[in-house]
Amino acid sequence: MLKKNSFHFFSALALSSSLVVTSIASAFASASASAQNPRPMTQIQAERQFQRALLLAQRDQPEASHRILEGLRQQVVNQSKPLMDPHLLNLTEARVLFQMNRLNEVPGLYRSIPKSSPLWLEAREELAWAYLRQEKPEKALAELKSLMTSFFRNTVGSEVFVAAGLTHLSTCDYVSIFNLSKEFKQRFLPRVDALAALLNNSPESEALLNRALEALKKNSQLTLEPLLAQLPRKLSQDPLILQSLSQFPSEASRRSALRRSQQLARAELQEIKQNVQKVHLIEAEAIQRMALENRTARRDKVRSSGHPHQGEVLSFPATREVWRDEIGHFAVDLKECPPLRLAGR
Amino acid sequence: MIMLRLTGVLLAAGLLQASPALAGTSHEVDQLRSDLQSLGGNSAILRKARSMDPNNRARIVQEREVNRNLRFEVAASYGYVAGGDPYTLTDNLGLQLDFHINPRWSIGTRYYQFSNSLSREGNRVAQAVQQNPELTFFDSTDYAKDSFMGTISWYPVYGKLNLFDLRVAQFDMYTLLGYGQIRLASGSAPTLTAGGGVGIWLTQHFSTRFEARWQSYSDRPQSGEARPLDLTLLSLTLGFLL
Repeated sequence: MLKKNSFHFFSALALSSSLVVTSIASAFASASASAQNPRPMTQIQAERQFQRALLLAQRDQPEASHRILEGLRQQVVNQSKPLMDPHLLNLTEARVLFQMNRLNEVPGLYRSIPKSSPLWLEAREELAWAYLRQEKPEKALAELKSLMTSFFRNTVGSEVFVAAGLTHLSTCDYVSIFNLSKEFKQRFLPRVDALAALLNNSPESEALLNRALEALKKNSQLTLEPLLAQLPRKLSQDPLILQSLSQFPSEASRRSALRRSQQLARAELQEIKQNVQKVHLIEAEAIQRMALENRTARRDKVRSSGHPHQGEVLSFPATREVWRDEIGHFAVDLKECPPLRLAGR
Repeated sequence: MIMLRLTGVLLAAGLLQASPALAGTSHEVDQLRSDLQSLGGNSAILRKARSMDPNNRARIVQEREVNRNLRFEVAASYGYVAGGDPYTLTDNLGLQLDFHINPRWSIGTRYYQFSNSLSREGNRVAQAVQQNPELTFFDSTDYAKDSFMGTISWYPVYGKLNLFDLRVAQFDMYTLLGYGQIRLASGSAPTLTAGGGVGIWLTQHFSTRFEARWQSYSDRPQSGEARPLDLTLLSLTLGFLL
């Protein structure tokens, strides 16, 4: 009896052991399979991860944010249908790397965003700031020249002029600083007047806004572009404005769009105000340096921004007239600052 | 030293970032307008700044839109011939094959078929001969039938065109030199050509050329000895890049 019971016990033990071993083995197998072929992420998961990365970056934890973005990039790249805009991912990663001061890795990411993307302008502006931080004013200016052309008159902000001013200051190009100030004044004085009129609920501004919203709803860029000269520059990309378009032209959507436009106008005026003060500072610094500089000193050293093209290239002088195909193709040669005059001489 | 000063400017600018938000009142907007108006310095400062202008250079650097490295181009042309025999009007249809070694140099072959007709003066003289068979004017004429030549072209100057605001097309101005044979009514003769033109690269595969060249050969009218002729040929070409 005992022998029979022992046999049953040991056979049951052997069976359960083999079951345990089998299940452990299959668990390992599925784990390694999932490591090699991770389960595809859904769009909602991707968006959540992205928001988490943004939050971490805002809380000054760029390393953690970068890890999430790197993981997200692999998922986004591996999917046949992109889960999110890969250019937005690149832009965000570039910003996080900028925050981590890993500036050498930043230009490649910004440059990967093509001209067809709505993020191109922002990317190139931030790239200019990155070059300025890297003490490469020639590369910064090559980017800024594209942004300051008349094509982007109504879409580029006033901060671009601050970046250009700092670039000219770093290479002691004082005449360019004052030319820049003059252009800044010419471009933004009418804009301030137009935005102030919108804040004051002028009937002309409201009519202009309604026309812009109609053009936005019909996706008519040709009609919208000249109207943006007198409206907040972020109007056409603002999510709340775009949301209100679905019910446009109802009275409620008009009022909501007007309120939002006034908020955007107020923010833009604040931005212009801050940047005007920065440009004043740059001018003051320039005037001080002009008094100290040795006018007879030679400026032999030239910093050239170069260009990314291989093989034979076509080179044209950059004049006031800029053609559309020339955007993003500027190259500059900047002379370095001369030594300062010694005190007492 | 420069970066220290720049850092100082940036620090001051950063402090400005903390200024209170703009409410948009008319006083604030007037203040902003006044701040904007005061930008730009006065004329004395501007004069001083101009005297210290470093003359920094900016240029546009672009790749060639159409790759012409080791590439064949076949083309058909229509040309008008000026000069040559005074009693004939001549034009030609041509076929050419060019091999672009690089964007600066190409070698090629050309074949032209000429079509001739009497000019107004030729018609007048022909009518006079009909009325007076003793005249022997047609012994002093000779005409071209076709020609075949090899060419070499150099493209030293480039530029670009704005085509009706639709697109930009790059072009190259070129000079060419050619040598070959021309078949005349009287027989064959060697011919030399030199000239220039402009080639417009419309797309990756389509091109067009406007060309003007001088061509020289000696014909042999029945009446006399070899007669050296200098022709001017104007042609329009449509090409396909392979």
